[in-house]
Amino acid sequence: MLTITDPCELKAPDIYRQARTVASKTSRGADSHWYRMPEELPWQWHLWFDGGREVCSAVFSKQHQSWRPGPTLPLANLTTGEGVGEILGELMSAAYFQEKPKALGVILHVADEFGLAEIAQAGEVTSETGDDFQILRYNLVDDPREVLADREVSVEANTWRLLPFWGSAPGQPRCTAVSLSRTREAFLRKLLDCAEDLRIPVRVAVTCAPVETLAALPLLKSNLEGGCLVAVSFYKFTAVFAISPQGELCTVRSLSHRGGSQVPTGFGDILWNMALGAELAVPKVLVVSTQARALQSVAQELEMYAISRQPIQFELLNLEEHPVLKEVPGNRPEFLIYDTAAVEQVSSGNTPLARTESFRSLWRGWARQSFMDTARLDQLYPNLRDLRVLRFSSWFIYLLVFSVIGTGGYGTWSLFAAMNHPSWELTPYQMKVTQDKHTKLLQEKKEIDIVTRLLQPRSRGWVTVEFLLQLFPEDSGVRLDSFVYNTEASRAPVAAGKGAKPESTGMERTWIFKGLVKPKAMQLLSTLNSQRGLSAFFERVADVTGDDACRPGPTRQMTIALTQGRNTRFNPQASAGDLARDPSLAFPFSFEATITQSLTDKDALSLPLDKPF
Amino acid sequence: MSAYTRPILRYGLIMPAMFNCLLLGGVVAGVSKLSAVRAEKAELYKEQTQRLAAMKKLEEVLAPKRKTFQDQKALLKADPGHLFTRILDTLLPKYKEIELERSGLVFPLDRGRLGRQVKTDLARVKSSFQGGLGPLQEALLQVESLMPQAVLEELKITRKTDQLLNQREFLVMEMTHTCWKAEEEKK
Repeated sequence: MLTITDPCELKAPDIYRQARTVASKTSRGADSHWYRMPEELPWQWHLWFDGGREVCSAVFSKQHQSWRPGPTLPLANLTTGEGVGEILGELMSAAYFQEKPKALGVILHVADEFGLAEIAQAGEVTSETGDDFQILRYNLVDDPREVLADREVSVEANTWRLLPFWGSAPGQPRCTAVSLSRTREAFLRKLLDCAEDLRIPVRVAVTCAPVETLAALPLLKSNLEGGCLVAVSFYKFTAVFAISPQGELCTVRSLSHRGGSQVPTGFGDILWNMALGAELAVPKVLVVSTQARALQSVAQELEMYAISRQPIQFELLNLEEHPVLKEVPGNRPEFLIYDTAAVEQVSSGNTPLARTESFRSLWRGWARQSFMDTARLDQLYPNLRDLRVLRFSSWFIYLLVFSVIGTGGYGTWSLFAAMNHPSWELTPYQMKVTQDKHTKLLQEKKEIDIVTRLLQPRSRGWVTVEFLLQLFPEDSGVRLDSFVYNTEASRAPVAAGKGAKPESTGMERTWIFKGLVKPKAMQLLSTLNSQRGLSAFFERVADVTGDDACRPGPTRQMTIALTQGRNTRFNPQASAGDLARDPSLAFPFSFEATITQSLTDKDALSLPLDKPF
Repeated sequence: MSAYTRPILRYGLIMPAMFNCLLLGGVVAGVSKLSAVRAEKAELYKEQTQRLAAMKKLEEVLAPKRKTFQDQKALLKADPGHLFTRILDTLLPKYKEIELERSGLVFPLDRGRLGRQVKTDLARVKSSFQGGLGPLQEALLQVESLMPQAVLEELKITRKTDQLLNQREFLVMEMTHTCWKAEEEKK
């Protein structure tokens, strides 16, 4: 069983724990019926008792606007609270309603007592708007001793609710306090505990039957006008309400029945005086009861009074025969005001009393005031908003935990994936070893490249001799006096940019020939003295020797400078002996040729600048 | 606001949120750190893989050249002057004096016009011969085939005659070879 402690007595963590318990063990967080007034719930159980032998029990389906007799509740059980669970179980089945109820509003209409108490500040209430009544009403609930004229009352035994007199004459009290004893709260508390255990929203109220009957009067007698006294006869008392000619409530009195009589002692005098107090010209009394015998007794009493004392008009309203109450169990008029559709119908009609402030206010809630302070009970529990926040917080925490778990899971997966990846095993030492090996290989490649380039045949002696022999073959008519061949490295190229070091340098090769030539060889020199002829010659030497250094190419430039002249020693009449001694006598011309081949630094045979090792 | 509102807000929302945020912050920081480590390792691994691939390719290129390179290296480490002389000494006796005769062999110490730009160590050999072009070409072919590090820097051929000795014309051939060599190891 859920044990609830007043949150005011708990520390904050315990309050939070209690809220969680309420949220988990009750349906308060999910069911808004827990937070509605009993008369607002679609399924209602009305109990009415007047101190007699029986308790009137009725169920009301608000949705279908139908009344049915409720489960029988012995009077003893109403006092002891026995069998509450069984009755509740019975009510929550589909036996009494067309569908299985999800909640239940229980309203206990108390008709066995009707105490009235004087309000200390009743005379100060002057407002026409009724705001002061509301303040007084709340003050009376919160602290009755501060509001009541009698400050010695027991708040443990009784409870009070305000009843304003909207039509009171100036100088008369503007309101009174209706009191009921709290003896029936025990039954309702048991009912609430039982409902709590069953997780069924049950809302309860204790109401004052005489006031409810007054509120139901326009529904019972639509042609009733003001300027009368309404005497509602119950088993133990008669409640008399004075209605002003304008239809407003002026005052009320509770008259006890003594000695088994169903008519209060001195009823006629009391009614006469009340009529005077209410400034009624002719006292008119409407006597209301469900018992024909009681009505008969009242009629006799009033007839006697009218004959012997003062004229008094009266009308009897037997509720047992009233067509409006035919469908209502026990013919109780108190139940009528819970049928909102019926009340709406009357309030929107042209009934004289329906237009008055008194009856409009009574229908608005004054007649249905609960004498049981359920608000104080509700304060023990978290309200719907609290429980929604709690539910949101639970989701929020789940979300956060999920995000933490998700992120943690992702982290674990990442770690697992990372650890299973070869990169996880890679150590800086391994990296360094590999890097060193790579550097060594690169160094080796560089060395091989430089050595390979360095040892390329770029200037060979035997090729140079072959070059000479190819240029001037035997009996070509050329007598060579001197031949000079030079190879020279070009100036190293300038670095293209910062950090870009030139890797190689070009080369220049020069062939210088000096000699004498016969006319038949002049053609040979002429052919050579052109770019095409020179290229063809170099190509031929390359083919013959297989030396690529002689092969023309885009990175190679070749030039020739040829000068020719007459041989001053030439003697056309020289004898064979002379020629044998000096062969130069046979050559009419002299020549000097300089052939240059320039290889750029981009050439395959350019010289590498760096050391190989 | 009921008596429950503040405790629910405090213990139901604020404190769990703070605790979870701290926890989440820690986990996120851990995951971020792990991601950073993982990214760094992956980068290093990628670098390592690329390097290994590059090394493999390099190895494929270098492997067939390695033997030749070792021979070339050994060749470059040999003293070129000594080698040049030895080859000539072996070669020249095959020729008669009139065909080819060595008239001089010197080793200039300067770097010459070919080697002045390069950093590679070198040795120069200046040799002089008398004789005919054919034997010279044959001798040079043999020398330069055995010494690929030798590059002809200069060749001068002039025609000479000694009237006094009543000699016929002969050719005087002077040549200078630049021979690349490996740097001498420091002792």
